[in-house]
Amino acid sequence: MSGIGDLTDEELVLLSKNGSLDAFNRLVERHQSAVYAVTYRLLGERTAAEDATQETFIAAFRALHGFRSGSVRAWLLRIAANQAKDQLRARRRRPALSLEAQTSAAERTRTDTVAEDPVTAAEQRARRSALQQALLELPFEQRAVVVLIDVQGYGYEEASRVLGEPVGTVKSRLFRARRRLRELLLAQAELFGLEERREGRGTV
Amino acid sequence: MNLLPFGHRRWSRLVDEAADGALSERQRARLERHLARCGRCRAELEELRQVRAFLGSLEGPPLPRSFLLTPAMVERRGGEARPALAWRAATLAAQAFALAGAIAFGVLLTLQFTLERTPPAAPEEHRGAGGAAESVQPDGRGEAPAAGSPYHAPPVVASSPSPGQTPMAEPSDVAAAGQSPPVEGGYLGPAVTPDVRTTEGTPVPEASPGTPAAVHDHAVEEAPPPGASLAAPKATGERPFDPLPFAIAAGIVTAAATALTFILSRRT
Repeated sequence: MSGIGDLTDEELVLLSKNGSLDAFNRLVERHQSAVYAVTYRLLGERTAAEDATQETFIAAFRALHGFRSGSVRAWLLRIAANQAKDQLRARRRRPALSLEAQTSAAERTRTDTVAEDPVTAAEQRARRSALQQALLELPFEQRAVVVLIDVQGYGYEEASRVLGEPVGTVKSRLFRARRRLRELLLAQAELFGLEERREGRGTV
Repeated sequence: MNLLPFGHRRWSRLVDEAADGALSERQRARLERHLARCGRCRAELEELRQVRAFLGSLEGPPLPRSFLLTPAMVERRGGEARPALAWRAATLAAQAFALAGAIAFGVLLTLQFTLERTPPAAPEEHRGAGGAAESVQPDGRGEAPAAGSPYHAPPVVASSPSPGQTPMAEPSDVAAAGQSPPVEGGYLGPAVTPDVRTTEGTPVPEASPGTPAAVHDHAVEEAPPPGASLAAPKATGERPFDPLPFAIAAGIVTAAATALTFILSRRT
C-alpha cells in the first residue's frame, strides 16, 4: 500500500469503485477535516456533526458509481450538506437539548486557540459562540453558502457545485446572509466591537 | 431594507459587491463618490467587511476522531433498514387494531344499551340472565387484574354509566394487565346476582348506582359488561343479534393491540 497515498482523488475514486475500501479511506483521510468542519458549522454541535460526517462517508462509498468526474471534495461536501439537512429535520421532529446549550458547551470545550490573556480568551470564546449562534439563525440554504464561502473560504464555483445552484443564486444568497448576520451581530455590538457610529441613521 | 431612502437599493448591491472585493474600477469609482456623502452606506460596507472577517476567523473545529470506514460500516446497513421498517409497520398495525377495536367496542356497547332499552323487559328471561352473566365471567377474569390497581378504579367508575367513554378506559386496563388476578367470585358473584334481581325492568345505567361500593372500587373493565349482560337476555328473546359477545371480543382485541402498541413503542 506504499504508493496509494500519492494517487490523485480521481484515481482513488476509480480504485474505490472497484471495491477497495483502503483507497476510499485515503479519500476519507484527505477530506474528513473539511467535511467535519462544514457539518459542524451547519449543525452547531459536535455529536450531530460527527454523525453527519460518518454518514457522509458511508453514503459516499455506496454512491461511488454515481460519481463521474470533477472535484471529489465538492461531491463529498454536497453529500455532507444533505446529511446535515437530514439531521436538522430529524432534530425538529424530536427536539432534545436546546441548540444554544449545545453550542456554548461545544465552544467551551475547545482548546485549540490559546490567548495568553484569559479575558481575551473568554471574549474570543464568547464571540465564536455568538457567531455560531447567529449562523444557526440563518435559513439553511443561506447558512450553507456563508459557511462554504466566508468560513471555509471556498470560491463561488465550488460552492455552486456543492449546493447544485447557479453561481448567481449562490452570490445573492451570500449577500443576503451577510446582511442578516450583520443585523444579528449588531444586536451584540459591544461583543463584536461594532459601535453605532453611523450619523443620520433613521431608526428603521 | 424596504425602508431605505429612494434609490438606495442599487447602492446596496454595490456595497455588497464591494464587501466581497469584486468591484470593477468603474464601479469602485462610482461607489467611492457615493460613499463620500453617504455615511449610512459607509457604515454598512464597513460592517459587512467585519462580518466577513469574523466569519473568516472561525477556525476549523479540531477533528474529534477519525472517520475511516470499516468493512462492517459499509456492509451492515442494507439489513438494518428492513427490521426498522418492519417494526414501524408492526406498530402501525397494532395501532390500527387498537383503534378499530376501541371503536367497535364503543359502537357495540352503545348498540347493546340501545337494544336493551327499546324492548319491554320479559320477566321469564331471568334464568337466561344468569347464564349470560356467567358467560361474561371468563372475560371478566381476563380484565379483572386491573382491579388490583387503585389508580384505575375512579376513572372507570366515571366511565361505566356512559358507554361512549369506555374505549378511553382501555389503556389503563392494559397498563394493569400484568398484575395478578384477584379472587374471582369475590365481586363478580355478588355483583351480578343481586343486580339481576333488582334491575328487573330498570334501565341499566341505574343498575350501577345500585351495586355495592366494592364493585365500583374494583371493577375496571367488567363494570360495563355485567351491567350490560343483564340486559342482553331481554334482547336475545326477540333478536337474533346479541352485540355483547362481540363487544367483549372487541374489548379484548383493543386491550391486546394497545398492549402490543405500547411494547413496540418502547422498542423503537
